[in-house]
Amino acid sequence: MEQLKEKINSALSLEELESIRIEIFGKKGILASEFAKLKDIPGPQKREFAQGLNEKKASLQELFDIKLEQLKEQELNKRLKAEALDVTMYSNISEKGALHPVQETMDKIIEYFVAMNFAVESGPMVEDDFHNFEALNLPKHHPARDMQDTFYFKDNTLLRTHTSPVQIRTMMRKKPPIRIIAPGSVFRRDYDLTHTPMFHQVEGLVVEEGDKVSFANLKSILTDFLHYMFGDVEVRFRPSFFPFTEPSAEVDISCIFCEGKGCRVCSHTGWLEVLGSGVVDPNVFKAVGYENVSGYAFGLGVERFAMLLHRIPDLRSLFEGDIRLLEQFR
Amino acid sequence: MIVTRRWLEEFISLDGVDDQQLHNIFNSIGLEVDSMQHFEMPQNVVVGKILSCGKHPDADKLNLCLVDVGEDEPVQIICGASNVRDAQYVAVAKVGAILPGDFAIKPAKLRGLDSFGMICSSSELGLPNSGDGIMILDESIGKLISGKPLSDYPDFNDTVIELELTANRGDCLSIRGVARDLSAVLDREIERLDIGIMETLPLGIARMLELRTKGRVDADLYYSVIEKKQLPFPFLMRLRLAMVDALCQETIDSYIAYTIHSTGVILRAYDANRLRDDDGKISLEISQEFEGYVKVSYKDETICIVGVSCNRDYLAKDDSVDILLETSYINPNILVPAVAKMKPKSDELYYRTSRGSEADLLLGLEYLQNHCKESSCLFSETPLKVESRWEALNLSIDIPKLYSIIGQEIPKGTIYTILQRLGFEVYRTASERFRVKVPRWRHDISNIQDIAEEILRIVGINQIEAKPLEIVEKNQLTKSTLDFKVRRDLRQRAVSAGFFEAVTYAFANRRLLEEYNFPILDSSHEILNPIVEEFNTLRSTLILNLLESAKRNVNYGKRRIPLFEIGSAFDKDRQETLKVSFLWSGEFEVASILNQGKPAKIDFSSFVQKLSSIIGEFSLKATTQTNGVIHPYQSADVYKDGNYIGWLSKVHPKVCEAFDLEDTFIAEFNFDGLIPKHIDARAISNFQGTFKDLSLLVDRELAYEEMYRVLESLDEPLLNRFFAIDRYEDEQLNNQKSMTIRFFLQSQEGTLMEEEIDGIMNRILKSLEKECGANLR
Repeated sequence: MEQLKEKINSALSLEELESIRIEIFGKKGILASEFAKLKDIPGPQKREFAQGLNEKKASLQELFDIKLEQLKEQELNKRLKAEALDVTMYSNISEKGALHPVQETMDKIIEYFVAMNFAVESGPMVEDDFHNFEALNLPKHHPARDMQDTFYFKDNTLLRTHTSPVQIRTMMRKKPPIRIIAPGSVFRRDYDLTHTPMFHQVEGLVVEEGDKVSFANLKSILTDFLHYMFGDVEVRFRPSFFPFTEPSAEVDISCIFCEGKGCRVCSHTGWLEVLGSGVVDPNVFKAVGYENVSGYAFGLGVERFAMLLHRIPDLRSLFEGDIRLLEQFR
Repeated sequence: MIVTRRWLEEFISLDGVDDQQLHNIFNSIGLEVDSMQHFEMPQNVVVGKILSCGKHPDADKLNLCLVDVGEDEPVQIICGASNVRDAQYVAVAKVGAILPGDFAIKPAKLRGLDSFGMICSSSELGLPNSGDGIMILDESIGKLISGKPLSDYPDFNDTVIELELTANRGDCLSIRGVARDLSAVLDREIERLDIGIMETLPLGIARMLELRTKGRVDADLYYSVIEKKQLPFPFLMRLRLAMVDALCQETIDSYIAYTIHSTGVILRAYDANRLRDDDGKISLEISQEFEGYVKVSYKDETICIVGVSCNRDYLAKDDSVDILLETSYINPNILVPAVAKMKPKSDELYYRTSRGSEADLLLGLEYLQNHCKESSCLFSETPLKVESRWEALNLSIDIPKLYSIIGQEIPKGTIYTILQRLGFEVYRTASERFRVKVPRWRHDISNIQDIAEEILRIVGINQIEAKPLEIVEKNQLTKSTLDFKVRRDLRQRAVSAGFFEAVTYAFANRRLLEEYNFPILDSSHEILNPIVEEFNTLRSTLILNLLESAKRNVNYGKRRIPLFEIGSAFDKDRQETLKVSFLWSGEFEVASILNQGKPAKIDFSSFVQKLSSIIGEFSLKATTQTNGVIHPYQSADVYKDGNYIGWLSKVHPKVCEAFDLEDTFIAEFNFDGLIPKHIDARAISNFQGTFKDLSLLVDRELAYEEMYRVLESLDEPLLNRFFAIDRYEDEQLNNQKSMTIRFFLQSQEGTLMEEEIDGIMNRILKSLEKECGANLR
């Protein structure tokens, strides 16, 4: 009996255990031959013998089952080990592309204003003088209308120099209240290290009936917007001049590179100029036929935002489809 | 506009306002500070009086000077400046002084003679260059005492501030104008010049000068005659003009420049003797060809176009004896359009006149007169005047409306004070209303919002509390808002498929578009003033831009170049459409462990697969494109839900060569074709379906599209879908090929019986036999 137990315990593999099973429990196995002896045993002892044999069989069976489980586990572990991979070799094999930082910044800007119940509006890139200049209170001989700055076509149309004509088109199509942003490409005749002939702007316009809209409202939304974009920065409003707003203000944030201490990026002023804004000039409302309304407008350059947010050094590289730049934004 | 602190103090007290505060004030009132520089005189630099000056015995260009520097004994200094001979009082850096650039003054020997110090030029002391040679001091900076440190003279320790003015603020193009803005912020008086009693020319101006005006004249012109005997150039004037970068060659010009910079009044000085008739009288004719285009002429010769230019031949020089002084004002609102129409050449003063110069002409005249006090110049007692008709603009201001623009109440007293300090006359007309008379120099003010801006900038925007606008909720989902979402999703899918988003210019090179047979703008619609040849027209396709970008990336060493762009393109009538374009060049996979570093190249099937993971299912038809970049046998028109949406192609090998590219695939779609359609769900059958394959022999040239068309037109409700799975050709098949198509049959009502299946497959085969000449293989 002890010998048999030792035999089971000594099995090293499932195959070995199987042959031991046949040897012990098989039709011609040891136990079978023991049970065969039963018919030769006389009545009274027969019962006792059978009982003993059954107990023996049960305990062997139990031992066998445990061993079987053990060996199965062992075999599985062996198999799993054989499948081992150096998983660390599979790092950084992404085939994903990337969004362009300017477009991604534009998305971020649009999402803010959409969440503030603004509608997105768009307009054509080829514009006329009325929508691009005249209706925006840019008088006929304003310096911004110089041939230097504007691309003109032979038929007296032009490439829009800002997204502001979308304001005019929207106001001529709809009645107040108006609450829109207009993202898009704009064009200036300028091409050097810090200017490209095409760039992107986002324009905002809010108009309500009566005297509802004030400069204080503009201050509120732009401060919140700049905190959303740049985090915990200081926001400063400086009076300025734009023909289509009055009062007008330029908006600065404390420099995100030096935290206002002064560095090369902020020309040692501690401030970065990021937005133009103001209360809509009455002449603009007059041009679109609005009466007794009030509103504010603002505009920003998307490339500037993207360059500041992502510390991109070279403006022109943004227009080259340079994968070395783009793949950093995966 | 450049101002200096000391110069400002001529007009307003800046006591208790340090430079940093001044800087902040300027920024907060809309006069943006571009730069600020403070000058500080080094120690041991003192006033010196030259007692004697002779040539150095051994050097032609050196002078031997004995200088009183306030010590017991005069010091010997060797000086190389050519103007030292004329000098009496100079700036001396004594031994021990350390000049800018860490230049220490030590006792020295120059060609054998001792020198104990240096007589300095302005730039050696870190000041702007105030002229050739050494500085020659005079009492315009204060009483000169030998040995007194230069740092004790406040004008040397000045701060120069460069302001960037917005185009509407011509009124701040003078020291006095800037001081006027400061007077409103600081609530301090602006000093009015006190000219006192001066000796004048005995002869009345009318006896010397005659002005003949022809018709209406929309300019103000004052003429005075000056008998100029001597005109010394005060050192302070020289120093300040150097600081504001306005120093002139001629002394008379410097006087004029100084007066203009100080007061904003436009002055011109002519040589009176060149304008005299035989009887000694000056006779000028003033005429206006066009509103705002005022000409002053002498004997048919134009002397001046007011606010634009003057005839330099008649300008006074330092050797002129008598001067005809002209002060002028013309409203920029009529001047600028006139200049745009007449297109005359304008001089440097046009920058001021086109933005609005000072209209108080006496101010300029008296300022100049005052500065000539010390000289022996005699002015005519009064000027001879031509004045335009001008009516002041009066605005009636509703105070609650003013508050609603700003969004906050401002004390009325503050409003009145600000406006008065800025030169407005204020009349209280009712408890909530007042009237302002707009000063002439503020031609930019025309309505209540302009007044609001004045109040806002002087009070300070940062004093205004931000208040969110209360709005009425409104559905703002415009078409553009929804398109933005579609576009964003599309871009995200393109990125997931491995593409990098490019942004390129909406321009193109017309020659290149023509060369590759893409549409070009009708020449009557072309750009009039392109900036460079590569951008001389609008693009009709994004593909050429992407090919250029791909080429650049090859140069940067990239081997796998997947790019896409969403952008506008223009047809020959310049109609704008939004295009979505893709390019994949070179390697298809990233080189990695996955491919043992040998990535597969892009091919037709993997490109098509990439695209469908972005834009969804589409079908391809034989190409109809005529552009020169496509591969004639690997290109297709793309249809989605039966509509043409664009095309895709392998790039023609010749084009690849031109752009230095390996195998490249491109696609261009109309954005509108990619807007997702509304989908109604179909019932899903719970019964098992059956796949059946048919291998058919058809003509080798037969496009799958033909078979597709036949199968699509079948009226077989149980034919759920079908698709090609194989194409096989070999020599034994001669002019035929084998096509294998897989069919999926399924019913909503029950499991299909063998007979039903056979029936359908037979009908399919029959149709293909009949329509496409197909035979079972």
